Amino acid sequence: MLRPNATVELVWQDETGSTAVTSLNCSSSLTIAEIDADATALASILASLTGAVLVRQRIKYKTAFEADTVASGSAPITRTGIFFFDTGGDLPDALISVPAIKDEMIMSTGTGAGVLIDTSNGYVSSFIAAVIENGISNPFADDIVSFISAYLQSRV
Amino acid sequence: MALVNLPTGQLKIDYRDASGTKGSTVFHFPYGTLAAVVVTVADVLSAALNALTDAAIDGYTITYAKTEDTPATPTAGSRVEEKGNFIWRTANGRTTRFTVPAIVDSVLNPSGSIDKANALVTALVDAVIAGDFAFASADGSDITALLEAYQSFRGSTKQQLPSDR
Repeated sequence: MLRPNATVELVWQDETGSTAVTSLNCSSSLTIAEIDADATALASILASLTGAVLVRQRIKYKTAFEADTVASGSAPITRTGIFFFDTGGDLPDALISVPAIKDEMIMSTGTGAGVLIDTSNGYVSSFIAAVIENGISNPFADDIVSFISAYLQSRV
Repeated sequence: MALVNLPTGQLKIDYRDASGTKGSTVFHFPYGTLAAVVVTVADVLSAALNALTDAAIDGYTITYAKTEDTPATPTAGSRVEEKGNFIWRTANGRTTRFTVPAIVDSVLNPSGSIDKANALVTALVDAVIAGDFAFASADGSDITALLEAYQSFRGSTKQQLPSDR
């Protein structure tokens, strides 16, 4: 459930290069454009009160943490499923990691046994479809268009 | 000199495994995507991920970031550890606060409290209270008055704070 407040973080940098944040709250029902306009206006007022300079601004919408959620199995966070997606043409691919991947998602037979993620598994194919069909992109805003491969990796 | 948005916003889904160790999955989406749309997508992706992972999903954060493309030069001697603390009264009788790192000396009283009559401070107070800003406390209550304002340093104890704050 989305929290009622969104957070604005104004990041300031001093002469030494150190940074610190002014953190403010506003309603999460507001759009990014509305919050952004207020943050810009307030930052211009705060700028005259500080010897530091504004270097970054972040607007965050957060969910409330679900109470009493427990892990459904024993796989550690470091046992990660790495999914590669194509963004078309020569554009950079996208990588999405899934921590604590379930054992049953890993192929148990064939040449990829113990390493490759089983894309014939219904849950895996549902996740892949959810990524492709919902406007997810790589960090450069190139839309993900197709799945390439997925395998198990230990990420410490 | 301007704040420029990154090409994408970020959706970060947080997990906790059986040992309590935390992890996350990060998705990117075009910056122009409305937060309401991303919330819907986040719910879809969370449900799909829940079937793939042994870890519990704790929640998610949607972040839109901008970066200054040509930062100005900070004032000589400025230190972010030197905080200006602004504590505000809210409509529901509680308080909320924010800090201004590297607060300028010109708004400080000799004791370390912030001069509430200083023009720069009154401009801030007017903007926060009487302006059309959407900022409020974390529980959504309107900010109604400046309660306390003072300088402190990281590690300042309560005894070290100015008595006239």
